[in-house]
Amino acid sequence: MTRVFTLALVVLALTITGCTRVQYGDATATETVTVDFGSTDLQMIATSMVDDLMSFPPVVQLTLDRRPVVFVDRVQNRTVEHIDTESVTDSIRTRLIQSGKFRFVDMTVVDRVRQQMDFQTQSGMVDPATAVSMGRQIGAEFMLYGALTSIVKRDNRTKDVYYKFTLNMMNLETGIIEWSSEREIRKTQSRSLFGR
Amino acid sequence: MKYLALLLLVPALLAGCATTSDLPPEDQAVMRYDSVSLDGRLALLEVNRADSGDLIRTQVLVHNRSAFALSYQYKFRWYDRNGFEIAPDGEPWQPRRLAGRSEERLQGVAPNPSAVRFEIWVRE
Repeated sequence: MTRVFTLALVVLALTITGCTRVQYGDATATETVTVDFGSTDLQMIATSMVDDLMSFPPVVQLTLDRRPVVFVDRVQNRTVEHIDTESVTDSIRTRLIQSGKFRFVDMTVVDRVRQQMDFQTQSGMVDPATAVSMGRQIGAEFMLYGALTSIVKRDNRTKDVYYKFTLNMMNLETGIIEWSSEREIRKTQSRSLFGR
Repeated sequence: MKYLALLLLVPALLAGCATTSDLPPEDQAVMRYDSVSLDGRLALLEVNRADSGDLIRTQVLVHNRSAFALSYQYKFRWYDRNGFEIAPDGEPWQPRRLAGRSEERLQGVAPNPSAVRFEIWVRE
């Protein structure tokens, strides 16, 4: 009888401790699960780039009385990790739009926009008075482009990762890089003597 | 008796030489502590403001009063003239590590021209 009772207690304990728990966390909290590129790095880079761009004196002058149109080219991932660099540029673009200082054109949706415009002008299903006019989109004046690089070093106990994110803003008409900024991040992971 | 002296020494070493704040009254509420444990260890020494066009730019000087290195996180929170926080989820917590008894400057730029006031929040 005692044995059965003990067994029941063990099963109950295992059931309780084995339960999966789901909880929401703070998306802006610092994440240090591994040294790999993470959400904190993405957010820090976006914040740093936007702060730097918006406080750069020539850009401040440029955006005082107008909102230049920009397009975001891709950011090259030159690290050994699979990193969604588009997510970084999406965050930068969102922050810049919300600043009210810049406007953007999105080259990733050009085909879908063309499909919709063709539908409006050629399908015969849309009232021509409400169809959007062709050839009236605004051309971008500046292009944002950049690269993410990393240097990884490790020994038996330590892994050190250095990330460098570079972003440039080029004037498309003159080819001049009007602004450039870098953000460096260093992360180190150490294994304790007896840990795994 | 030795233990008593040691007990008295440890908090003194942790807190260091606390400097009295010479901040103007409007700057004394700029630093907000999300972790009570940082209050007294990380102090605000200076607040600078400048305008970048129609955006507020700020730089604050913080000081680690402790003799030991301090790992902490910070973020700026920006408010409009009605007291509404601008983009409450827009600013990430940024990790920092500050050597013992040293200072560093943290910089922030308002997310848009409607910002008139800011706070810097710190936590462990």
